Amino acid sequence: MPAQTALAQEQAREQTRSLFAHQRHARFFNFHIRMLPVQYTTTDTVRLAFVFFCIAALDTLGCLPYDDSEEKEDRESYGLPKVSEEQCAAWRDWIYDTCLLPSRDAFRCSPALSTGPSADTDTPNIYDPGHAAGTYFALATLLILRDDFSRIDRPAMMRFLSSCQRADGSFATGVLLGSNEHFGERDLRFGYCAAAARWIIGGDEIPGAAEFDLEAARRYIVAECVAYDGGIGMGGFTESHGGLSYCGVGTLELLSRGKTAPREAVAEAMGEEGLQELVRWCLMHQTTVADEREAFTDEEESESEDEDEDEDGLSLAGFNGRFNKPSDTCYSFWVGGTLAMLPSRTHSTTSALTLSDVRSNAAFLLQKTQNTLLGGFAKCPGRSVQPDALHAFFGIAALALSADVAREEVGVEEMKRDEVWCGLLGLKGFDGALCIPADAVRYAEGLRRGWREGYV
Amino acid sequence: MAYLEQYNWDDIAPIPQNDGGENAVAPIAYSDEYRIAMEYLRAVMRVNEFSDRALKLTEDVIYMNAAHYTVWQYRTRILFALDKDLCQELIWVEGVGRRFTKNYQIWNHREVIIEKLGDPSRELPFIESMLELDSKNYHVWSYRQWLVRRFDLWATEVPFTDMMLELDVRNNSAWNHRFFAIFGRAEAVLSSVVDDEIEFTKSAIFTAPQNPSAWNYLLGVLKKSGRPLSDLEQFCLTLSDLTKTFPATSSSTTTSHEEDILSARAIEVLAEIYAERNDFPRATHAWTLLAERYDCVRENYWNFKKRSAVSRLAGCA
Ligand SMILES: [Zn+2]
Repeated sequence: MPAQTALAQEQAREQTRSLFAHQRHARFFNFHIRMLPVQYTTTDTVRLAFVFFCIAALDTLGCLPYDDSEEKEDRESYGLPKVSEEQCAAWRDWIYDTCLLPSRDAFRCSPALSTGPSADTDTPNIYDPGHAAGTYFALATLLILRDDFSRIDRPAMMRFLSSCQRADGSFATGVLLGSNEHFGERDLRFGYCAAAARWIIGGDEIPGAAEFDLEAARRYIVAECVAYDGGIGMGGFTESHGGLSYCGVGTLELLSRGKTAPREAVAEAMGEEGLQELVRWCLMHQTTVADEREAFTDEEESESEDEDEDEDGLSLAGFNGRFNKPSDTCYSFWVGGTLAMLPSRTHSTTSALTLSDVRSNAAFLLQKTQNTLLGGFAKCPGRSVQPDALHAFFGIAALALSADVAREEVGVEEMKRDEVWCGLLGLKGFDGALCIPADAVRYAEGLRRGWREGYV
Repeated sequence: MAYLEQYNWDDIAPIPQNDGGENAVAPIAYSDEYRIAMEYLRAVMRVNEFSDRALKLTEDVIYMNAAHYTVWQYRTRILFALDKDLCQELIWVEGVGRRFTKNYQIWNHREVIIEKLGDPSRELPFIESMLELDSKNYHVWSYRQWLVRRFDLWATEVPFTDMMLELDVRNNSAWNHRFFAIFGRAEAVLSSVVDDEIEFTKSAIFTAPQNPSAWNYLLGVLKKSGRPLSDLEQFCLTLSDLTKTFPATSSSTTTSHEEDILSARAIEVLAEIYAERNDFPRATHAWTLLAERYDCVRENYWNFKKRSAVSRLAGCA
């Protein structure tokens, strides 16, 4: 057979077999970054989260002009619509113009909270404080957009982030101006956001800057929030939860990032027994439809006609966030991302995500919650469930993490021949802890090096 | 829009949102009602106005976006500054809660109000009505924990979880709350209470042998009270009799004895018990059954457990 024909056939076969609607997802996020439909009104005050979801998804899909990843060449054949450098510059400016506080030490989480320039008055708007999550979303997005952070006062930002920490080690959303009162729910999310923000701005390496009480932060997570079943909850005796486990482990990882071997700090903080219980806890949240059918009597949302295998015999198993709850797209990331940060055992270099069934998880997302017509992913299976930007981003992030495991365990050549994996080769490698593509993290490491060596 | 109809706003200059004009990133297609209400809200919050019209405005904004996190703080301050009837506020919040069941802010708000009132008498009935709408609502269960601790309401809690587990034995939130109700108090837990919990959970497991919530509770109680896992050996064998397939013969692992295996979790616990007493052939047999037959989605994990046991054995020798 002439080589050319074989190649053409091979290419044709690859195209027909891919289950991942790469182009549709690119279109979905290109649409949402222009306009979020009216039902997003309830996310108005956390809008930066949605800006992050859109831009981080476009980057993971390879649609931004910054692409320093190894898989770059694979993606070039996709003919994806690329966002221009000018557009990225406009996005960076918008984040600064609408969300950076005049004090340049923190971001609000949405332009909706700003009441205009306060320079003309002596009374600052007490209801427009810095927001730990807004600060993380802004910084992570700016990192993806290759910003140099010269518009931020980094030492002041470390002061702000440190001020969010409570005496017990936990973190608040922020501090209300005037009253010095912490606000926001007692929730590990803000500790995670503060830890990620601190690493991104190199706050752990600014001489003389304010610093967190690191021991108290770790102690709060490990001694207070670990539940009797080994998972992590919102505080003492609260129910273990996939999202909170992610935030707890992410905080442990990011507070020590660069100081120890990857995953070593988490293992050390949790202890061998705690680590084993948490790994087990995470893996037990991977659920097949049969588990769900047993768990739910008719009043809950499980598609009764569903099987553990789809028509082509693919095995399907997503993740839930709490025991005996239905699988949900975002928990493929929250729980999968937690596993990606945990070593299979202390001193192991293998991530615990390899102990899960990554292929069944990817197949669940691709076959059950992916919307191949509109693009995006829905929260759960079902014809009536519409895709949304949050679940679309976390679906893509979870698939990117799965593909990273497959690159190691299955190998690229084998992946090309597999219907679940072949379409995922076009996704960028992903950093589970910072929740952004790996090449943006490498860029951040370069920035940190520059600050350390005093170039900037 | 009640706030506009009921009050005069002529002296207020609404503050439009600065969204970067043409360059807005991921702008929300607001309804006109929401956009305008937010413009007024920004104007009154800017000057921290405490007034009836501002209170009404917060109400209208909350109905359109209950997740607006600073409007709640503002509302609380208005209520306190104008010395409003806080019982009336509780009743209003109950309506908001039923309408936006996933909302967190109402619980924080309620906590602040109850703290000020010092009277929790409305709370347990309200919580129960919310759990009727969603029996696993994380915010509601967390709020109940706060309330129990704050007002020392421990006496009702174990019977309450009895009732919730009667309704749904797989409700993980209810199991977690039971753990809180038993072990969350300062004083030591009596050995007889632990015995009762173990028996209670075992009978719950007999009704749903695969239920991870009940198994985790059982293992959690055992660990918390310092009892050995091997206490469960007979119980596990009743649910999953591995003795019939061990030692394995060519046919025994493949087809027969299916009816003797009711619970993959029982097999898992047996594997741990065997591994603890260094009976690796039996432990490996149990992990193999899980990997190949009864819990295939975790095949990698059970094989990892086998490898870990082998290397531990090699390390000892
Ligand atoms: Zn979700």
